[in-house]
Parts: sequence; C-alpha cells; structure tokens
Amino acid sequence: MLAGFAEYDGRVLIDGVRIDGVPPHKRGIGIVFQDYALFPHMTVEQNIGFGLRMRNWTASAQKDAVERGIRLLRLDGLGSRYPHELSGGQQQRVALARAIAINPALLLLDEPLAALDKNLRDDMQVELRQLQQSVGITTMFVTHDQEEALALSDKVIVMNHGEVRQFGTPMEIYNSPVDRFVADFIGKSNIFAAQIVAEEGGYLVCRLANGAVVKAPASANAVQGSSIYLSIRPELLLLAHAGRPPAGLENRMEGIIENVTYLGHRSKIRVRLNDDARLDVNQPNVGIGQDASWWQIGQAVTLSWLPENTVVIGD
Amino acid sequence: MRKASFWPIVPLVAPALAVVLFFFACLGVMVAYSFLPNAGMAQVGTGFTLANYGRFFGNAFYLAYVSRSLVLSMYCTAVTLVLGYAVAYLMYRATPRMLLLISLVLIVQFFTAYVIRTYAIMLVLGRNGLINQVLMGLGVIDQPLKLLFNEIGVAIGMVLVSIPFMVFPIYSSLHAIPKNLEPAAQALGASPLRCFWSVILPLTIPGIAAGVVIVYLFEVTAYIIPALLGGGYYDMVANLIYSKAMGAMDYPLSSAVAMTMLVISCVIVYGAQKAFGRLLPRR
Repeated sequence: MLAGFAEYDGRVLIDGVRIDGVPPHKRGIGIVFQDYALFPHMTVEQNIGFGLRMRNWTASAQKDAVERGIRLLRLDGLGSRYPHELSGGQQQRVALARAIAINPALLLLDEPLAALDKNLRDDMQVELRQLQQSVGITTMFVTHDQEEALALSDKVIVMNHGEVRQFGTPMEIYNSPVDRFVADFIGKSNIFAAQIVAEEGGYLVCRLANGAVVKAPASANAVQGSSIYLSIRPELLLLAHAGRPPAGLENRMEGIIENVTYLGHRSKIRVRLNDDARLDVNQPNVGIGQDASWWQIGQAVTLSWLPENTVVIGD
Repeated sequence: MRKASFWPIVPLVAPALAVVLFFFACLGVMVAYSFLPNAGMAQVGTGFTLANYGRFFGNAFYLAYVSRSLVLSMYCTAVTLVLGYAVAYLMYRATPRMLLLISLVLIVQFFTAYVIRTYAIMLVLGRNGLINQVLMGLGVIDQPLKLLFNEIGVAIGMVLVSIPFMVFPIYSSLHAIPKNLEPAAQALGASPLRCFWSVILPLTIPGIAAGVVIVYLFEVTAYIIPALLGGGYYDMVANLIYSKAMGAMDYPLSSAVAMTMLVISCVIVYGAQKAFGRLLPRR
C-alpha cells in the first residue's frame, strides 16, 4: 500500500504530500523485502547501483554512491560478488544498501530479520538501529517479533487483523496497553476479569472471579461497580512458599505450581489458582545454581505483586 | 550408502539400452552408407569412397536446399521467439483462468497429429481459406493472396507449429523468477518497461536459449510442412533426403546429406550454447 503495489481506500501522505496516484516507480520509497529480492544476475555493486541507474545518474555519481553504500554497510571487497555467493547477513546488507542508495523519503522494512538465526538477528537489530539513526531516514519496520518491535522503534503501531489497536512509544505500549490484545501480544500478560468494588487511597479495590481482592492504580474512567480487566506481567510477580509472602507487596494470590520450564537465566512457572485459572510467572534464576528442587510441581505457593504493577484495561 | 545391487535394475535399464543401441546402430549404418559407393536400387557397393559427399557438395542445386533450410529456419526461429515470448509473457501475467485457457489451446495443438495440424493450416491459408475470405469480404484485397505452396506458406506453418516449443521453456523461466524482484525494481525507480529490460528479460535467457535451439532444430529438419504447405514448390533439406532415398533409391547420397545436416546441427547447438552461455545469468 505504502509502496503503491496494492489497491486501497484512504490516503497516504509523505511529508504532507499525498502520493495515492503515484505509481510505485515514482514514489521513491526504499523497500527491503523479507527475502531481500536481490537481482541474481547482478553483482553487489550493480544491485546497489540499480536505483541510481534507473534515475539516470552519471556514471561517476553512481560509482561514488555505490562505494558509500558499500562502506556504510561494511561490504568492502564483496562488490563484484553475486548474491548467491553471499551469506544471509551479507545479502541483507546489500538489500539495505540498495534501498538506502536512492535516498528514499521513507524506508520500508518488511520483516527483514525473519530469515536470520537468532544470534545474527540480535546483532542485526543493533546494527539496523544504529544505521537508521545515522542516516536519519524515517523507517517503517514490519515485524511479527514483538521484542524486535520494542527494540528497534521510536513509535510502535500494534495491528490486529488489519486494524490499528495502539500507537505509541515502546514503553507506552508495554506498560499501558489499551486492550487485552495489546497486553497479551506485546510480551505475555496474565489477564483477569474483575469488578471494581471500592476506591480508596488512590487505589481501585477489585474483586476477581476467584474471590481474591486486589488493588490497582486508580484511573480516571474507572467507575465503581463496573467490570474491567486487570493485566499483570509475569516478570512482576513474586513467587514465595505458601503462607510466607514477602512484606510490602500488597496484592496476593494462593496457588499450586503446575509446570516449571527452565530457560537458563530465568524459569517460567505456571501456577494454578483455586478457581483453576492459570497464571504465568517469570522467576529469575538467581543463586539457585544446580539446585533443581527450588520450585517443584505440586508445591503450594503465594504470588504477590505491587498494586502499581497492575494495569487496568477497559475491555 | 548401500551399494546398489545390479540385478534389480536390469529390467529398467535394458529397454533404455535397447533404444539407445538401436538409435546408434541406425546412425552407424547411415555413417557407413555415406562412405560406400552407390549401387542403385537401395544397394551399396564395397570400398571406402568420398564420392557421395563429392556429388552433394559439387551440386549447387543440392546445396541450395541446405542454405534455404538454414536461412528460412533462422528467420522463422526469430519470429517464433518474438511471438512465443509474447504468449509466454501473457501466460505469466494471466489470471489462473486465462492461464488455463492459453495452456489448453497450446497443449491441444501440441498433441494434435502433426499432419492434421498442417492440413488445418492449409484450410486457413488456402486460396479460398479463412484469411483470404475475410480479407476479400472486408474489401482489403480484390485477388486472393497466394499464401500456400510457396515460401510464405512454409514459413507461416513452421512458426505456428513450433510456437509451443518456444512458449513452454520461456514460460517456465518466467515462472521461476522470484515474485519480489519486480516490485523491488519498481520501488527502486524502474518503469515497467525498464523493469522488463533490466530484470525480466535477462533472467529468462535460459528459457530463450532452450526455446531457440529446440525450435531451430525442429524447423531445420521440417519435412511435412514443406511437403504439404510448400506443395513441392518449396522443398527443404528433409524433402531432398526423402526424395533421394525413396525416389531415386540412392541411399549413399541421402546418407551423405543427412550426415552433413547432423554435423551442422551439432555445430549450431554447440555455438548456441557458447553464445547464450556468455549471456546467462550467473547463479
């Protein structure tokens, strides 16, 4: 749509100028495709210079721009290689260099990291962010990887089935999701249906379906008696042996450990509450060493968290 | 890896081997005949001789068949390439329904018996054929055009019959182009036309090469088309070979002509591979 390949209703503006009637080849939008779409019959240099050739730049201006691109994306010495002679990461950098070379008004990255393995992807994330900052081109980055979205962006748009659900900074999106979809899609969330029973001392007192009473920060549009949803991030829950919760964390729930997944730096623990609802807890594996008996299935536990860490969601 | 045992593959290899052996046996006989003296009535004498080649190369009348075949096939291949590429490109752009329709038309004509197809073309090109009737009906011409029993008839027939051989390899080349290359080229500023010249066309060279070689060899050895559409007024080299073998019963001469064409064909295939090889996209 942005690049002009799809039919659409509505308007697309770049720098305030409407571009709806402009054909793709005149829009000047740089695109990096998921599969990079490098021209297999052209060398790295020819690929990077393609957009400049199409713009009928002089040979020397083309050469300079191509060399700049090669330096910028650290492709030195690979200029005369063909795409099939490059690694995945190198191909991606060529695709980026090719898109940036035309000095686009907008850079569109369509899941460019999806095909890379995890370590390379993490490296490329850092690189992409630095590169984007240094060339200063407005960049639209499409991804299904939520962490990637948070890591790379200034602003995130969360979409579900083609509909915008929330638009905001990564912190806003993560810490104050507007609805259950956003809360659960961007990072995991434990979501409970609840009813507001009272408001005291700047907190909402809410009753959950299982009868537990918890506190949540007051919000302007929360009316007493109304039904709401509460969202609690798994990493903000604290796990303790039953009946021995740490002091200071006011919200509490009792449950039984149903499942423990050891992930190295942390463990993912699923707790079954008394009404059979499940709750996920992320527990850092600090100081447990080889002691695998730390948390065991069937163990009775108390979960506690700060009222401030509860997020109230309208629906 | 487990060593493939010998006996189970025998029933599979034996028929293939028989076919290959039979082919090379015939070819061997032909090579031998071309170097043996003619004894008339489909008989050969004994003793090595170059006389058959001498009779062939020493006769401008015979050589005219060869040059005529080589040149006409070249023109026809060029026309077939342009038309075939257009059809393949249409198929590449077509909706699934349209693609099915075009493929069906091509396949039906491909599998219709060669002679029947050629007769059908005669019905269209003839003095009272479809083309002349339409053109005269529209008042474009007063006299029927002579489209049959001459060079034009043979050329039209060869192009029509060989189009599927050109379309299929080019279409498969087009089909193999990654779907995102065109959008990528356009986003980089290539107009649809420049996108075609700088991305689509270079990437279909393997298909073009295959199509050109197949079609050229098919046309240069055409027999039925010049026989029916040329009606004896525009014979090609295969017709010469046939008339020398079956009419004059001169097996050695027809073998010598056939051998010469075989060598020329090999040279053409080799040359085409060399030429297209330099243009081929590196993969």
